[in-house]
Amino acid sequence: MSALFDAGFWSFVAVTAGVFTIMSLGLQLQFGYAGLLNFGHVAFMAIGGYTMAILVVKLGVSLWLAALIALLAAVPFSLLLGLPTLRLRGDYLAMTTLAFSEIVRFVAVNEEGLTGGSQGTINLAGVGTAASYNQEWLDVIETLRGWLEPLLGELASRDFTMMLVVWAVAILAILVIQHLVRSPWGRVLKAIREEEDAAAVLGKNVFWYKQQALAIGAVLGALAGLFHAFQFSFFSPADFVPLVTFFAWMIIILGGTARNWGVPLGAIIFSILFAGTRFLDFAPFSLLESDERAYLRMIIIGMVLMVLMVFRPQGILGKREEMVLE
Amino acid sequence: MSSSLLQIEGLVKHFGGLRAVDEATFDVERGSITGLIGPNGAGKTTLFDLISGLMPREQGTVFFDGRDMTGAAPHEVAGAGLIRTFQQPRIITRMSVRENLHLAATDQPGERLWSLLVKWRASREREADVAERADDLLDLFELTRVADDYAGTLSGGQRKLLEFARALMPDTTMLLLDEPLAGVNPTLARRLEDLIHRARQERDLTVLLIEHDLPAVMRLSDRVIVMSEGRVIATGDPEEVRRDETVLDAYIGRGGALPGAAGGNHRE
Repeated sequence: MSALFDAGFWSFVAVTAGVFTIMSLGLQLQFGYAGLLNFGHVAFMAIGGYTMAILVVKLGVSLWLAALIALLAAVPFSLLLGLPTLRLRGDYLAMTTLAFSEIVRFVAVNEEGLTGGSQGTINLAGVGTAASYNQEWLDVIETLRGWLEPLLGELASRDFTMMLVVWAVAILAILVIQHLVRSPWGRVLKAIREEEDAAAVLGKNVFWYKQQALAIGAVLGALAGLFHAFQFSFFSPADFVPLVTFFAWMIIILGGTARNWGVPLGAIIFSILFAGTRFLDFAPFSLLESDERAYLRMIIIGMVLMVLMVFRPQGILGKREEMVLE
Repeated sequence: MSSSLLQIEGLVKHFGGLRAVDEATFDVERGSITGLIGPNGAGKTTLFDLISGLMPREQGTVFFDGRDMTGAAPHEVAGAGLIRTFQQPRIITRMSVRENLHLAATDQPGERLWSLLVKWRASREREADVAERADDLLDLFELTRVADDYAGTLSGGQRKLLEFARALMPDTTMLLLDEPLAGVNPTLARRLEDLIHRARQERDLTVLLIEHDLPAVMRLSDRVIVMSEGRVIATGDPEEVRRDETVLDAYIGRGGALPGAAGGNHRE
């Protein structure tokens, strides 16, 4: 139970929530505003993380340049996904995007020479050679931590510092997306979500707008992938299973679709539920093995979503009156 | 021929074995109001879908304003100044009435990502002009009172008005109106008729309209095109068409008569 009152533990949870916020914000733009049923969002986390790690470990590129390239790499990959699929109707798009994310993951598993294979990035430089990609990042975090320490004392842990950085980036990203969706550009996106043909016959290039939304969401996915990689100093293809995409879906449904500030809210609630189930070590839960308890959180999150759908189907910040319009 | 704005030649579209549009050929004169009539299933709406680019045609050509629009995407057709409406108004229900109009504005730099990030001021300035234009249309269509309501709260008739108004937001040269008078009460229908007239008069618009309210079509139109089973079976001024044997056959069988502009009944 001691973790319940441990600031370090909750800092870690908050980092997770921040990473989920950035990732889900991308899906919010794609689905909440443009109406795209993207079931393969996690692929862009993988693309971001792997691009950065491979460039650093295999080519000796500096971390910052590698991170920038990783973010930009999400754009051509989103074109690769979008060009053949964005003309498809919603449910077909869902299937093809899901397949895309699995292809990305299978490539990461099987192209051992490029990605380290199923063992993950620990194997990037080949067996027996330690592969670290985030030393420069850790140095910066350590410097920041050093600055915070006189102010915050023991609270200024590595995770706490990381939390501040991730959330600063997350809030900045929310503000940028908020600016975009409130602009005439965002207005076209919403029109496409509601009545694609109407937008088209009013002169809007529907396909191109969808592609732009997909690309921006992909960059946010890659950004989340970078922070995921930085935080854990290691990742493997198992981190990018389709379930992670559906975490993002839960988060935007919890917070409310087409509500940007609903994303951090949903991500925080989700992360607390996700991490909080580890405290269920009393009876009757203590009858379960710990790995069985780990699955309990999925049951609990599922139940929370069901209750929400019954009492507040529009999500926490969603607008009820918009749900009933036809 | 220089006075024809829209030229349709040999358009063909099948739905399975059905020839929905069967070598449709006609011209629409610049500045005219042209009625497109025919029994249900004659292929009128499909023809609109082909012209506006929402559906790919199989054969034939579409020329608009001297430009080859054959196979053009919907947004390219709209960009050329040819705007259509739908039988069931496709308004954006989760946007305010005003936003629906703003959406339709053209030349808004704020609709492009790069200019949005680099020169957002241009977007604001254009938006001010757009707002003015929208206000005028709200006024003209008597929608000012509901301007800030969700479009989804409008009645069926108001939705027709909104979609029509929205079609006038861009620099429209020609309107394709799909049953603008259907499903609205007689008073509103007369107002819509008047608005169609004024659109032509005051904005130099060319109008092609599908309509089943034949007296209204006869009153409004300079020319009438009649379709049946995918084919254009007659064209002419309302009086000619009214007396055309093939038209009468297609519409009401032998021995019938079509109502004139004044009448409301199907027999005179």
